[in-house]
Amino acid sequence: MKTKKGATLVGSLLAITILSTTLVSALNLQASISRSKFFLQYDNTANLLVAEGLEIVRFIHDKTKNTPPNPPNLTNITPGVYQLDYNTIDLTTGYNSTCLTTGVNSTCDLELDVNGRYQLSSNIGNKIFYRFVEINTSSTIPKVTSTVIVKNPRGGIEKKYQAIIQLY
Amino acid sequence: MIQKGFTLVELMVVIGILSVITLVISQPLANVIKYQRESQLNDNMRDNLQFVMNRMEKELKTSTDVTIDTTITPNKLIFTDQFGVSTGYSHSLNNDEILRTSSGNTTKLTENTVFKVTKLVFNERLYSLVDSKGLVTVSIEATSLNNKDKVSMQISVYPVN
Repeated sequence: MKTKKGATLVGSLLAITILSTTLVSALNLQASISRSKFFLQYDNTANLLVAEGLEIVRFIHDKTKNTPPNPPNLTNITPGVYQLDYNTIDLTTGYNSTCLTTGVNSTCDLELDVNGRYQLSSNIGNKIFYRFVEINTSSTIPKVTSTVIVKNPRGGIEKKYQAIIQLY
Repeated sequence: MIQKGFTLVELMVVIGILSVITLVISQPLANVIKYQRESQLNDNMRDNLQFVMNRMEKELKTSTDVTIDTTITPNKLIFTDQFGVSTGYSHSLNNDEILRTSSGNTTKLTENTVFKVTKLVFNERLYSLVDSKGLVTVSIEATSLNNKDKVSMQISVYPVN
């Protein structure tokens, strides 16, 4: 009887499968770590920016609610979706945003100025932070939702941070 | 006679293949270890900064007479805390730290052995020209000791009193 030499087809396939699985797993692991690393480094900042969004609206609300003739009114706060930064003092005109939770765009992006402050960006380009607030007055107590979206400029993957308050 | 075992060529081929596989896999695994080491340091920095921010927010919310001293660089935030004590936050440029001064005592809010605070900026936005109390914004920028990681955080506080 002649001695068989070489690997069997099943043996070869098994070896290829094991090697492929190992390689794919290792590469997936690295990709997954890169993704989570990106969002992890902006977690704290995003949460603070969400809170800041609510605080800015509360500031405008508190400054205007006792304005005559009909306190407590919302003179400078009308329902809608707005872009805003720490310099915003009016939510009636000039700050309307086309940002939606389904897709952020350049009307609500934030960037760091030379002093290290986050503010509305003055140029077009890929940004990391996008923020907008939604004011809903359908109930007697106005509800404010602050949303910050962190977007990875490479690949476009997004993570959303959100908080809600009621304005009394 | 039928020979048993592997030939030298077969062994060399197997060793060659295994070496290539090890090389390919070792890179992602090395990255994982490197990431874990770095992320621990960076987590410390971010958590520490967030703690400082939360503390400032809490203190400013219940404060009165908030003023920003722009006569010095970098500017300094001065306020009267809820117990009536004059308190201030400032940035030590020499040591890259945030300082808190209260009743003449200065304490560090951050340590330059953990990370460096490169910017601490205060801003007050008044609602109108006749407004006396505005929205106070605190912005901090910090870098890790190896300068690989940079964090910028910001809070805005409207004092309730």
